[in-house]
Amino acid sequence: MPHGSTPARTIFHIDANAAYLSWSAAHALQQGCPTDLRTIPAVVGGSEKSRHGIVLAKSTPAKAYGIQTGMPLADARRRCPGLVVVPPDYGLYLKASAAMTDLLLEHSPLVQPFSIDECFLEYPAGSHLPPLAAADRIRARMAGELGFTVNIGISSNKLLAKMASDFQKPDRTHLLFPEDVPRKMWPLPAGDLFMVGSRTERKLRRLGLCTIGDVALADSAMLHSHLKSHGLLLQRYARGIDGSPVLPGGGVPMKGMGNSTTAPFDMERPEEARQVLLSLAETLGMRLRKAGMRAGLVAVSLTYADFLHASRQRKLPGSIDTTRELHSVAWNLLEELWDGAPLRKLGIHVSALQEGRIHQTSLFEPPTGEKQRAAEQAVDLLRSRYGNAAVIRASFLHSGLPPHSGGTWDAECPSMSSLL
Amino acid sequence: MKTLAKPIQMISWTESDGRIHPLRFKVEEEGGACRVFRILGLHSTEPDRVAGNKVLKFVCGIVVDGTEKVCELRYDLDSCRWILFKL
Repeated sequence: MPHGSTPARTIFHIDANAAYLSWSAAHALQQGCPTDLRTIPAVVGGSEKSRHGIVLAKSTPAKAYGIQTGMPLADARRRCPGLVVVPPDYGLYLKASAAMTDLLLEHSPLVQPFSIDECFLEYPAGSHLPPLAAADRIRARMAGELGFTVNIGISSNKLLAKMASDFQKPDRTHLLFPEDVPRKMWPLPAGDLFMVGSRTERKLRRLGLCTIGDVALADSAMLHSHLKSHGLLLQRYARGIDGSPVLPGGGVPMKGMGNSTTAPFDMERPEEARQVLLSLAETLGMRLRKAGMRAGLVAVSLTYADFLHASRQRKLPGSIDTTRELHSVAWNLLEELWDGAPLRKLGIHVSALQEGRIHQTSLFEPPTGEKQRAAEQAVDLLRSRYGNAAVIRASFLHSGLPPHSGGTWDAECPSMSSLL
Repeated sequence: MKTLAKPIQMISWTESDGRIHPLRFKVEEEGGACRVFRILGLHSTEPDRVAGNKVLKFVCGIVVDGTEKVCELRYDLDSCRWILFKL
């Protein structure tokens, strides 16, 4: 609908149904697997031996057993004996995601990959196919050519298109225009609104706001006093208001990157934690250098064996990109943060990224020698040519720990962003 | 045709424009013995990109135990591996 002088846009949000599972299932069929994993109780799950055993994606028949994404595999097996578990294949998922974007680019030049399994598309005005017919065509092509189904939400802005694609699944097109918002969106629980996580949902419930409609009609001053500007943003979203453009090629510049890993055993001794941190810094350092970036802020997060979570971050006087510096800052942070209780999971995250070539040196920190940087670059080169195992640090020999952790992705891909 | 999905060794010929012609392949059978099949004719070639994984599908004629049969071979472009998909 045109409002003011702005011509109405037609925005699609395309979301792959049960992405990881569908992609693994389609690939298995292509390779001659006699069964379609989507038609039997099946999940994509990490390795239980190394304690990465959670459900990453599930088939519809698995869902009928009450299996949820994020549930430990052991629980999922208890609910459904005979459950088929396939390991994740991140290389395949990146290919599937790229194929999905390529197919969409044949329908519009304005496509924004929003996460590995979703894209926004601005449908050009004056196209020969009306939007609904185009959406049907896209869905049919996804199923026929790429072997998996998608949901498509259509609206006049990105927010409503995204909300619409989440309605009934799989393989459906849904419309949600601003005039439909009170009827179609307001009865939904507040937790279904974009940007409302479990914490915000609890806060909203404490304020007596249970549905999206409650948030839309709440007193703005009250929302602001409890949730600050985030509350006002949520209210705009609940009213279906969003003017963000479709940014081709992913749009949102890389703001940070992080790696985390669940160790094969609970870490109790500082040397163990220090070593796991080193394996994370190795992978993160390589990713940072490959992207040609330097980090101005380092954060460390940890999860204790009892699943309590804590994190700490430090803004650096300059910026860094070597594994050695990353590890040293991360270790300092961990020493300050850790109370010594057994650790299950560690993570390093960097942000305040800047282009790598130019950097501000600090007067107060010892500069990392050019020799160190050259050595790490040589190692990066060897690893890119002969694989990550070509050169490993001697300290990982017989340690029972992998020399590289986290960052399974071969390439940087847009992660789920809070920015539309 | 029955789905077999067996990895095979292949001798093929690639034209300067990238077109691939499978010529002869070797299948390892259960006992470890190998059988070689010569491709008599290529009926069709079709690209496939299911889940973004690029594969070329070749439907060809081969001779099995004295009778001509049709089989489907698949070439995975990323892994450079051939499989006898159906026979």
